Formats: sequence, C-alpha cells, structure tokens
Amino acid sequence: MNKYISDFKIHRFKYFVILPVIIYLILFHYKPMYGLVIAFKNYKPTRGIAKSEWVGLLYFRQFFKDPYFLRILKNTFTISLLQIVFSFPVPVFFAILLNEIKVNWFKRTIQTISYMPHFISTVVLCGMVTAFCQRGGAVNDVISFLGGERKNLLMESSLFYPIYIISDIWQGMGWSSIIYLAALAGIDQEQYEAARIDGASRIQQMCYITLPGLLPTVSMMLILRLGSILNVSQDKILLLYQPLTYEVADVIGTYVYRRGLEEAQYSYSAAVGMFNSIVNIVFLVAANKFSKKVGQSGLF
Amino acid sequence: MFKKVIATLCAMTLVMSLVACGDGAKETTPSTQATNKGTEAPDVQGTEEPSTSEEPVGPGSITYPLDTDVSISYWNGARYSNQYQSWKESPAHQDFLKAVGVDIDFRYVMAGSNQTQDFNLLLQDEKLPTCLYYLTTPVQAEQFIADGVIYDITDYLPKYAPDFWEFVNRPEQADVLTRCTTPDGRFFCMPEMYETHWGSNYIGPIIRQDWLDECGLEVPVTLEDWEKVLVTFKDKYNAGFGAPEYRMASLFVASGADALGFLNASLVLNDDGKVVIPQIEPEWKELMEVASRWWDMGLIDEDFLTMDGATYRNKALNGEIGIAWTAMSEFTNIKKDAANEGVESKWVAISYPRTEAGNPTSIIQTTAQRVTNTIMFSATSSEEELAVALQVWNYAFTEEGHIRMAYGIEGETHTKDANGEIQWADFIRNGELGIHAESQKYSMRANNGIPGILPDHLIRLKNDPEVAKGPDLWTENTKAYDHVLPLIMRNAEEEAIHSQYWNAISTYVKEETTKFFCGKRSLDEYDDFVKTLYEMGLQQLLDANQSAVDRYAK
Repeated sequence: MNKYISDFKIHRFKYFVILPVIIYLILFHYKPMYGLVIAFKNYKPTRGIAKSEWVGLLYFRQFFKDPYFLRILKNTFTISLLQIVFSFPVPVFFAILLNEIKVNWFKRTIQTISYMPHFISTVVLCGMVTAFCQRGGAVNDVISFLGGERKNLLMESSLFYPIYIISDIWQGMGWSSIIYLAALAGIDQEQYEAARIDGASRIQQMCYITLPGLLPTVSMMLILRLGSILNVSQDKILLLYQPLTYEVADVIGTYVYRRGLEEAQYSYSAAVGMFNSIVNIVFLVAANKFSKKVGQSGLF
Repeated sequence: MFKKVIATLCAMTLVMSLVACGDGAKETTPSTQATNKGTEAPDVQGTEEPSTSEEPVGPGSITYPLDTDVSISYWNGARYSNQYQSWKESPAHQDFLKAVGVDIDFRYVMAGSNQTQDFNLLLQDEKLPTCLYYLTTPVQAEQFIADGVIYDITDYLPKYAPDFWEFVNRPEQADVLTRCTTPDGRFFCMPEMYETHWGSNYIGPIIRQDWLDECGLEVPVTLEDWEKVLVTFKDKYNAGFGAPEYRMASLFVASGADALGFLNASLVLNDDGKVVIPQIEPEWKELMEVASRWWDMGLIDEDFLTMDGATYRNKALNGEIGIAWTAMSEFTNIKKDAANEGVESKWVAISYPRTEAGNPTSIIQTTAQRVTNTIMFSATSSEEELAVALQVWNYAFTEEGHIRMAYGIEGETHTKDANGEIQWADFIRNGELGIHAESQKYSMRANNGIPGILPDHLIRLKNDPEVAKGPDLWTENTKAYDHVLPLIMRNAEEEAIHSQYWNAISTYVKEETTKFFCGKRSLDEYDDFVKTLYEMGLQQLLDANQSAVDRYAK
C-alpha cells in the first residue's frame, strides 16, 4: 500500500493529467453498462429500467430463432473478414511506400490527398458512391466506354462487396496509415545505415528492417480489429443496400436497426447488442492469446 | 507562441464552419415536403359555423388573444421546411403567436431525422414539451395514458377547447372522433386533418404532355395505351417510367390490375373484408406480370431503387423520365425546377390506368384517412400549461382562427373575389419563390405540423393550378377506401404475435417482390414464394390482425 502512496506522490502530476480520461471511461463506458439489464426486461421508457418487467432470455431466444439469424450473422462475418483481408493491409503498405518517398513536398501532398476522404461524412460518401454507380454514373461511363453494358451496379448483389470494400479502402487508407507512419519514424536510422554499409538493397532494407519494425504495431492493430469483428459500419450499409442486395448486405446492425429503432423494441436491440459484444470479446481474447503464442507481444 | 495562436484560430474556424454547414444543410435539402404526410391538403369555406352561444362555456366563449403569462412548448416531429433559417423569422408563425397571445416555443427536428426514432428518444426525457406532435394510434395512446406520458384530455376539452369540442361531436365528423379517442372513448389528442378525403389522394401519375403532342399521341387511358406511350418515349427520348422506390413500393400503386399494393408488405382488407397482404391475392400476380414485362422491355427507370428525391428531380429535369409517380409537393418541385432552369417541358397530371376504356380506373394510392396527425399533451406539463395549450389550439377550430391560420389577414394577405372565394394577395401570387413557398411564408396552415383543418381550397391556392388538378383526377376510384385497414387495435397478445412475425415477413416480401419486378426471380416461382410466406408464419400474423379487426367491427 505504501508503495502505491509513494508512487502517487512522486507522479501526482501524471495522475492528475490522466484523471479526465478515467472520468470519461467511468461515465461513458462503465456507468451505461447498467443499461444492459434491459436485454432481460421488457423495457418501457415510460416505466424506467427498474420498473420494467423481467422476461429472462426471451429476446435472446427470439433472436436465435429468427429466420434471418444465420444470414445476418454470415453477412456480418463475411464483410468483417473481407475488411480484414483487403482493407486492413492496405494502410500498412501505403505507409511503407510513403516512407520510401524522399521528396518531401511530394510526400506531404500525397498524404494530404489520401487523408481527405476520411473527412467526408458517410452520408455524403454513400451519396457519391450511389451517384457513381447509377446507370448514367461515372463508373458506368467507363464501363460503356470499354464496351460493357450500362446497369445500376448497386442492384447487383455480386457487386456489393467489391463496392463496399473499395469505397472503404478509398476512405480509410490515408487516415489509418498515420499510426504506421509514426511507427516507421520510430525505427532507428542507424539500422538502415548499417544495412547500407553491408550492401543491402532497398528491397532488402524494407524486408529486414522496416517490416520487422512495423510488426508490433500491425499485430496490435489486428488484435484491436478482431475485437470488433461483429461491428460492421451499419450506417454505410443502410445507405447503400436495398431489397435486391439484402441477401448479402443485411447485417446484424441493419436488421436490429429496422426492428429495434424503427419499431422501438429497445430490449430486443439490447439483447442483440449484448450478443455482439460477447462475440467480440471472445475474438479479442483469442487473438491476443494467439499473438502471444506465435511470439509477438500481446495487448494484455 | 505565435504558432499556437494560429493553430487555435484555425481549429476554431474549422469548428465554426462545421457548425455553419450544419445549419445550412437544414435549408438546402431538396424535396422538403415529400417525406411528410399531409402536406397536400383540403377546403375551408364554411366548415366552421359562426358561434352564437353567449354562455361562458361553449363555442366562441374564449377570447383571443389570450391574457396569460404561461408559455408552452411544441414538439414538432416534422422538419421546419421553409425559406427561413428558423420559424422565428416566419411571418406566419409570428402572426399566429400574436393572434393567440401566447409564447410558444416550437421545436422542429433536424433535417434527415426520423420522426418515430426522435419521438422514442424524446420519451426518455424527464420533462417533455407541452404538445407532442406524433402520429399515434388509439391503442398506443391508451398505453401512453396508462404509463403517464400524456394527459387524458376528455374532461378538459369542453372548458378549454369548446370550439373543437363542438366540431368533433358533429355527426359528420364521426371518423375524426373515433380517431382521436382511445378504444374506451377517452380523448387523447387534437387532430391535424384534411377537410375532405380529396386531400388524402395526393399521389398519382404525371406525364410529359409536350412529348405526347410531339409524338402525336393521346393521353394514355388503358394499360395498353400506357405501354404504347412508354415504348414511344423510350425509342424517341430514351426516357421511361420513373419514381423513387418509396413512391413505387407503397400502398395502392395504380396497376390496372387492381392489386392492393406493390413491393411492400402491408396489411389490407381484400374484397371479402379479410385481412391479407396484397402479395397473396391473384390481382397482385397479374400486376407483377405487367410490371416485370415493362421492366424487361426497359420501360422503367433502372435506378429507382437507389433514387432519392434529388436524383428524381434531376431525372425529371433532364428528360430521363416521361411518366412519373409523384406527390403534389414533388410535382410542384418538378415544375419549379424546369421553370428555374429554363427547360421546356410541360408536365400534367393524368388519371390512373384502366384495364379497358370505360372501366373505372385501377385502385388508387391513398391514405384514406382524414386525420393526418395527432397532437397530444404531455403529462409532465402542469394543468395550467395544458389549459393554455388547449385554448391555443382551440383557436384553429374557431371560424376566425381557421381562416387566419390558413390565409392570414383579410386585406393584407388575401382578399375575397366576386364569388366570395378567398384569393391570395398579388405579392404572394407573384412572389419570386413560387406560389407554394410564398404561401408557406404567410399561411400557418401551409406549414404542416399543427392541429386544425387543412382546407381543400388552401391546397388549390398554394399549388400551381396544374398541380391542384392532380387530386381531381386521382380521386376517381374511391374503392380504395374500402381496402384500407381500419385503425388496428391489437391487444397485448395479438401485438406479441404481430411483432414476432412482422419484421421477418415484411423483409422477405420486400426482397422477393423486388426480385420478381427486376427479373431476378421468375414469376413461375410465385407459388413457392407464397408457400414460404406461410411457413414463416403469415397465417398466424393475419389471424392476430383479423381478430383485432373483428373486435373493432363490433
């Protein structure tokens, strides 16, 4: 105990600085957990949480028995995995490539341009995607120029994933690369010098210095990403899907949105949200274990 | 240090510009009325009889402006859709506040929000606004009263809203009375309503008359004529039949085949008075055969599923659509766009198609409800606030209030012509924003979202005459009224069954009907489609609703 008190005395300024964050976490991430209890109650806003009646696992059972349960679960995993396979590595490579550019003004310009889509709101972004994909849209202009047939691309269920992932990469690539650029900046320059003296080519430097130097950051980001495997950006899907693409695009989030918010079934949504979180935690812990096992450092 | 100051200033500028953008967005979103029901509405003259009663309680017993210090708040689930940044600048609102003598804080919602969601979130608040503008069924209202969300206003109405009380108890207003009372007869709201059913038929087809003339074609009457016109339009102008999904999918899309709906699942009554969804009736299959054939022939705009209001207007403007499906407000916007851009086009309303010349038109798209919204009074308000709120909205049902809220002040904003009919003053009629927007500036009623009666005459006045012809043509076949489900009053058990099945079934219906329409699934599989619906629990869903309807009929 004394150890803690003396530690506190020595570092009291640091503790003071971190205080707002702790308050934030308690207020916005721990206190609301009490609300989870409505997943087991038939919650009526007018009665409040405490006075609503208990219904046990009713809403969980309803969700698991839903005719669309398997479909939305499958779609959610599919989209999430596609993101991990395709969207996740792009910023890493982008950061490495940027790092190789030695002309400073050019590097800055590329960076700025690549960040820009991140600042466009999802609604506007999806409006642009919709406009591009329409029969008379820009993408169709290209297709028709190359001799293809014009059609509304968002109506093809087979094209939904490519459209989703490509727009995802376009929007997130620059922004997500920032953390990797920071990691690259932390690699000791002497290592490169030594390698050059030993006659290593740039490709060799990349493979044996840059990549290993990045790996801890990459594995940390991957673990975090797996911790939100069931959190697919539902607002983007809501804005891009329609009945013809439900079969590939309807995910847990959108289904719950239609049922939970539009029909005001709060308890049902809370039950599904809880299911979501539990799956996410399982993946987070498993990924962390795996990472430690293969010799990389874990998060905790 | 200097750098820090500059950085801070930059950050502030960024934040301020974001705030500014947010405000701007409210005003620039196109198709302002399209999403709100009841924008187009009905006629006023003579609905209110002058009150001669001298009693302290009774029609006409309240003197306006009121003499009170109590202020009230008004939550409006609609967006403030006017030319001004805020309702506070609107002459119509200012005149209304002056007329009733009460300080009202109108709270409109943000652009792009969803009324149901906003209302559900609002309910979490401890102190609710005095007046709640939200479409509520009598059964929901019963629950709201039981849960202590809203007042049961039955006992307050005769004293604080005597003119409304007198109005709603007239025999010819029986439908309004039913709509505004709980199943056991308690008043829960004051209505926003059309004067007659005419105003509820505000959706229908329009066509490019100038193209018809150029091609030497007559206005299409039968389904066959429609097809011929569409083929000609496609060949000559590369334009088809177009409307956004939210127009095409809803109730009673004209079909010629008398189907009761198109892409969306909805509960309707069939010819035998049984609760069904349109898709299991034989007429629906006939309609879908025609519709999917038109799709195959390329007569229907392929972008309808991803089309929003703005794209729709653009397509109409750019001549990519030859026959469209619109609400009156959209029709107005389409005409306005063409005028603003100097595009030569002449859009006119036409009747719904018929199977054969001489037959009645196919079933029309209608809400078949005169009451378009219900305004309730929150139980977290004091009785004093309730009394003032009721008196304020009672004004809408007095003869003076009815006229003033609809047309402003005589001699200023309107005059009476030789026939005694109300006409706008010239500055409104010839205002630069067009008749629709100019009317909204000076007519409280033309801005939807408050209790009272929307006169048919105002609908005609606030619209381009060509647009106002729409409901005349679209009202031809009123058989649709018989197919609209009466107010459903499901009890708790029925409600549990309904909510268990409805979401999955309506998702399935929408998905598959769209596939049938767009040629992604063959109509040969129609029987499988219906079979799957029953496997998903359609019968249980219909039975639950049938028993609710039967109870209502008793």
